[in-house]
Amino acid sequence: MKTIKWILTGAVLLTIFAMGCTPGDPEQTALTITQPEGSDALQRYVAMGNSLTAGYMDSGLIMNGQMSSYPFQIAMQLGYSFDSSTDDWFAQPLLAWPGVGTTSLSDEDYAAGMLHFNGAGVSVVDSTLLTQVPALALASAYLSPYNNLGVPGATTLDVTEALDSSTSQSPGNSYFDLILRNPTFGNVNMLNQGISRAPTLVSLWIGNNDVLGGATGGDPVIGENVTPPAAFAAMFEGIVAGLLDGVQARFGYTPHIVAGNIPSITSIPFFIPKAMFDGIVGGAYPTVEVDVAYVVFPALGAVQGGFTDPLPTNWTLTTAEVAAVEGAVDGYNSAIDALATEYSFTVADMHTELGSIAPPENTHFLFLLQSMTPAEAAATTLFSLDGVHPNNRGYTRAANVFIGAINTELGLTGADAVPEAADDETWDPTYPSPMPPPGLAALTR
Amino acid sequence: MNNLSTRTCLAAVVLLAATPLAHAGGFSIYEAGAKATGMACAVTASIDDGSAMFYNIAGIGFMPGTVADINVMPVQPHSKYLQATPPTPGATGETAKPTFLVPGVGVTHRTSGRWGFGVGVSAPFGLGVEWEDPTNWTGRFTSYDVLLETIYVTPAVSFQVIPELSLAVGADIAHQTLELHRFSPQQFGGNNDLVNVINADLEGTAEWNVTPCFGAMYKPSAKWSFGVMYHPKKTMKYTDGTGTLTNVAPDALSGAVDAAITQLGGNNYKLTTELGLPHMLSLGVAYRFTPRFLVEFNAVNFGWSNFESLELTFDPDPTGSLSSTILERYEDRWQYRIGFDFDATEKLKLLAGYARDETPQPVESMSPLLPDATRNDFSIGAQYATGKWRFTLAWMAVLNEARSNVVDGAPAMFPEEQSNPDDVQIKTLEAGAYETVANVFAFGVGYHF
Repeated sequence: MKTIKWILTGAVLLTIFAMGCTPGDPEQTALTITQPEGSDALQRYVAMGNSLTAGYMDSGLIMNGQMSSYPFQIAMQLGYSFDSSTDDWFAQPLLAWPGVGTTSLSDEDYAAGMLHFNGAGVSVVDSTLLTQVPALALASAYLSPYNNLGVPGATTLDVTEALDSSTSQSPGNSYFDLILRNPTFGNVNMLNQGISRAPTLVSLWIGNNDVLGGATGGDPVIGENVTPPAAFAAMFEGIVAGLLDGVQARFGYTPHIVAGNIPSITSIPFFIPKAMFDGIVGGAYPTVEVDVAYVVFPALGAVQGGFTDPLPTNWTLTTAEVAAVEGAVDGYNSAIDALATEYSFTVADMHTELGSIAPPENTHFLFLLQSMTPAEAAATTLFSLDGVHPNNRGYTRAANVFIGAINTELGLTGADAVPEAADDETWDPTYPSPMPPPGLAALTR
Repeated sequence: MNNLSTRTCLAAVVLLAATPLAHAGGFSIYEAGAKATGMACAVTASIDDGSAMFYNIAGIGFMPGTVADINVMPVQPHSKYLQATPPTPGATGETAKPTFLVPGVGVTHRTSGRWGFGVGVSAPFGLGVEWEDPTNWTGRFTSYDVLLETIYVTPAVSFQVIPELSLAVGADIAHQTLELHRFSPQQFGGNNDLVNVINADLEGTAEWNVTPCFGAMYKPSAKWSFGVMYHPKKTMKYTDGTGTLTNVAPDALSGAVDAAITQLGGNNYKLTTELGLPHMLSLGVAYRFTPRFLVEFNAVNFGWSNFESLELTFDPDPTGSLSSTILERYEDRWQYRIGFDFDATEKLKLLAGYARDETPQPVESMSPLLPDATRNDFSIGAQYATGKWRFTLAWMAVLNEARSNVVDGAPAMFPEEQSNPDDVQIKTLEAGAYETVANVFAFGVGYHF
């Protein structure tokens, strides 16, 4: 009996021992990840930004603009493929004819396509029933985030906050739906979609819409429709830090960043100097505001179309308004410069580049028609019909500024340097229908 | 979506086949009896109960009359995993903690002459690794649940050559079943994560396999005893296994995955393969220091090199992308075992033991299917005898050494895998460290007729 008690006691003790015999927590191991430097950093390129990054032109997004976007032109110089059937395709959210534009139509069930030159003036080339717009997205089946994540209309805030058209800073921006593809893609913002591609090189050009929205509306007010520089600086830093930290945490290295700064609004033909405006319309045209410095481009069409009232405040920028906007732009660029120093990235000086573009290259196509044929005008100006965005040739200029910055960032010189894109892009503002769809065969999957 | 996603899904399913099915290296279960378990299974030279049918069939010759033993060994394995960084923080994983009941049954009879007979049932090979949270578990693309069960039925006959020497021959009649469950991945979504698109259930029952086995036991004196046990290697043939692919993709991918499955050959497949089992050779020596205290030492060789590779053949396989050969490249290993048997009283026997079990699994084939490692086994036990009955209780702690499949900062891979981007992706994802412990309990009841 005594022996049995001992056995039972032993059994209980054994059970207790066994219960306590569990594995410890494994020690952390680490993979050795090489920080990409020099040419090695050209392996995986991602672009983030707004319409200028997306390849938007002629008031819309369409494949022929996207296939000339500055990120695409950079990617071609880096050796990416334009063929979507290949593994090294530079993925973009390509849109088919007639594109998706932002021109308002009288029939709200339709989305405007691109603007085009119809031989006499500018009009919408075609339109698409809203329900059919998703069918224009040729690469919607691409299973990963695009390499080019530029979203027309995106603000600095949108990079981290917008998930779709319902959450964009500018309400109802359906480009977010087409490009970020949420909620199907798991409600992931532009920044994190970019991080997920394990980029070794990122171009970031954001902030233009933080001033343009107010400026193109003619009534810019800092803090209301123009982002204050301090707020911009904080958001931009959040993006840069988030990008570096995000890639570091997920992939174990930090990407190289080249960031475009913000051009002056006076660099683009959308804003017509008042004196030029008066010259075109044949005299000093009255305005509601005094000390008007610039008139927005749509006002010209209106006046030439028979509008006779004094130009309303939303069509003009006063000297003070211009100064306020330019002050904001300067503030943004100072912030970008400071952050470039702090976070060791390189600035692509788009401010200087666009400021250096002189007439006739920065003259609107329609103005050039006064002295040129349409073909000559198209081959001369660097801007598209909307007066804000570059045309195909203009995007080559932008690409080459970024390429210069990339070479600086990565210390690439001589034979190692990324070569500049050739100035052989063409722009056809007539948009002949059907437009030549480069690479379409590879995209119709 | 079509060609693109079909293509990527195809690649994913190829990957499904290209990672090991039975990646289980040290899937030996050397516990076939309660008393043996208490002695860390160092019993080849001294076994004196029904588990001799596994540990040394020549032991029949030294057990007078008829002996019957029924043992059950509940085994509770438990593994933890920490993914190598990056990403930071690394993902964690933990196996469920099921209890597997390992049988050990033996009946022996020695005639009044020199002959002895016996039959035993043991389960010398098996594997059960079920990871918690299977749909999110990092290693789910290799395995989230695997179950391998092997039963040996061993009839044997012994012959007493001289009173001190018994020789025996028998047959290992083996039966084996295998189940493996895993997901096939596809990179998808805003985070570009690998998502589950196909659930693969692979199951099979091997054909019966018969090989001879041998034993010898020599007891030149009351103090010394020597034993040799040998179970040859086997090749278990699966000729009628099944593979079932089920579309579990997110809605956005579901259509493409259906198309991919159709292109691959449909949802259901016949699966054939062969799984090599190692030989087991044990050399034992026991010494009785006092009439009440015995110590035994065993050196056990496992011929794991028989588990060189695994060829999987799917039928149908019109694209040829499912069938593949998986490299295992296990290596032969010696285990060293020492056991202690102390008669505390006339009726109570105390048992203890230790075993050093070096893993046969190369680091390249270490995976969530079986994160094997070199083991240190510690055991204790007790046996109570009353009349013709024996009751045995034992516990063995199987402590795996911490092991990682990260070598010099890189996931360990065979050269052939390094050239396959899919292998590299999965191996990199699953790289990490493991800690494993198993508790082996043992209960035995014996009767001496």
